[in-house]
Amino acid sequence: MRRSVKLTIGLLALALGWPVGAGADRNADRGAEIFSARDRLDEGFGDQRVSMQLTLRSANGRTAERRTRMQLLEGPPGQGDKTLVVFDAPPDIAGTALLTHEALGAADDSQWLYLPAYKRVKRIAARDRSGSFAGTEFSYEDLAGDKFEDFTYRFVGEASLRGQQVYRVDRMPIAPNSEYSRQETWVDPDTHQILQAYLYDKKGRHLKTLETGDWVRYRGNYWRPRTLAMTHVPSGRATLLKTSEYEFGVGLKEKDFSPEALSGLGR
Amino acid sequence: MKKARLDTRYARALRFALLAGLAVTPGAFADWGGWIELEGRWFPDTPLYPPQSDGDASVALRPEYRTQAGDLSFALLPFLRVDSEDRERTHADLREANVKFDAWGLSWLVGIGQESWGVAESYHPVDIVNQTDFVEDIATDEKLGQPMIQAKRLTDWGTVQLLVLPGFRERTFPGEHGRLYLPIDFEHPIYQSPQRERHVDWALRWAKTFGTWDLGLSYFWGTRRDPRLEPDPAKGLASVYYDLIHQVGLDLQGAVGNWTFKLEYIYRDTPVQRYSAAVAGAEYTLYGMADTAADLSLYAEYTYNGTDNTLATLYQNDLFTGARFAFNDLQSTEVQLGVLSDLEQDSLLWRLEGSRRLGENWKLRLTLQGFPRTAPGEPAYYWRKDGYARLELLRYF
Repeated sequence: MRRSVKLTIGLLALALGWPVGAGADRNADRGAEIFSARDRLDEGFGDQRVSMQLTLRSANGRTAERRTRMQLLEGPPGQGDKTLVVFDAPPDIAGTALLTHEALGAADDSQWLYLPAYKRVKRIAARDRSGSFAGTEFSYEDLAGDKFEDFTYRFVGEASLRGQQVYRVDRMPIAPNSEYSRQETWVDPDTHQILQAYLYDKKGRHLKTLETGDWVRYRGNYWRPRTLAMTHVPSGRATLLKTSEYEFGVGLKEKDFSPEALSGLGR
Repeated sequence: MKKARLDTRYARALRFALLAGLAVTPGAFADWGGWIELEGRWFPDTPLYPPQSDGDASVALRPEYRTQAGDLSFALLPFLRVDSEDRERTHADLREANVKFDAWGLSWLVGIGQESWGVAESYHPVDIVNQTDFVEDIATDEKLGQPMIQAKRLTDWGTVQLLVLPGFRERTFPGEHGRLYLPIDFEHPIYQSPQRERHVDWALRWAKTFGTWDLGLSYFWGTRRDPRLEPDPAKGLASVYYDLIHQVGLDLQGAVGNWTFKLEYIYRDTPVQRYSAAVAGAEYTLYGMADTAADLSLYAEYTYNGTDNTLATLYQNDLFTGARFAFNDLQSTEVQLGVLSDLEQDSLLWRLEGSRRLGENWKLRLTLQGFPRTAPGEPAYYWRKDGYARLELLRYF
């Protein structure tokens, strides 16, 4: 509701060429418009499934591989998505599963972790979501999704990234328990997807850099990256994520995303 | 004798499950996996019982086969351990042999399955579906496969799960040639039910998430999994009683700020006593310490068990404190320490565990278990000379 009102005003203002409020507000609206368009374009895919190959690189340059599969159920309008990530390799952590029920705005997402060695579904404390997911540079929060409603925005300007003209937008998480204070994003003006992001921790320090690439368009409007690289800036550790082809409309159900469904997913 | 009978029954169930699994999955997803383990245990103290030795070596095999086609899946996980010293520890089991499918608006599991309930770290009073495989480890949740028909449904008012459990599994206990022995007559268990291990048990659980809290309520009617152990001076061994019980249980876990809170509570009606048992505690985690990816989780839990049968529980009135250090490195190195101290008697036990993956497919695990102080009447009293070091090398395939 709130979102659509804001959106309507923004669109109206854009259409009529009116300046909306002072300069700061105009930049907030322009930043918000870019990201709300991204979510709008992505609506209606229903569910998706993808396999992911992760390469972990330690600070001293050694590497190790992880294989996971991820499935996602799109939430009804105004509600968050449900995501499940399950490890397939290495075999000793196969079956390790992370379930996220995304909450929009200031509310904390609910996350559960299943560790086969302990045979227990553990709640992840809201403020603990900065933890590394199975040794990767992706934190629990990074895997929980980033909906339009989760941030406030500021349009910074236009910039050039890898020879491409892009939007520079800063976005600030609304949830007080977020591990980040601010995210600087470089956004593709056509797809409205993030090509690069600098993630700043609560102390304002540049903690991580996310780079996305090999974007593929599925079913007309759904853009998905085939590569994601997350670098931990202070240590130089990095995780490179490569996906398989995405599958959409695979018939996933709510019951596949309940905490009770987490055990026994290993294979 | 009894073992042999049980085995035939499982062989039949297995044949059925295999046929069912193969018949319905032409060319769909199928996968072999599993592990083989070499284990050595060393007990530095002179044993309490003369036939026992200073250590043992054993090998365990746990293959895994899974197939899936649409909503239908099949799992087969046999288990075998061969131990150099203890005939009781040499044992085979079907951890899982089941078919899962969706029908009539329900999710079904038919066959031998594993079902764990509970949220705490140290003690799981609500966990009653599967029998503990006690010869594997006195302190882990290693469980025997349980024959079951399970129906589950996710509704707007929570997940409801009904289990029919035909075929009771006796708890495994180390024999007198094995360390961590208890002087009990496990070869002649006394059942309350005239059908003995053929009594059909029932279990029901409802679970729902409320904001950042997860609540579960459960009910069980059937043969208790943890036997009552009553000393019998005539035999010189304690008798093993499998009573019929009713048990209601509650489990709750919630995330508040940096904390996770956990509670498990049961109330149990047995022929000799009505009592409750509980565990309540909290977990606190420090993430990404000093720009490493390492996490340190700290635990504190109070455990209570109101049974008069002190020989049957370690958790009468105890405080568990623990720490888990996950390095989150490429090799998934972990170290954890747990201490259980009795608040009534002068009794304390501790365990230190470390594990690390070697390469892609190997894993090394070291466990140190100590019983520095024990009190007569509790099970650990019989283990006071059984502190050990255990080394496990696992190869996954």
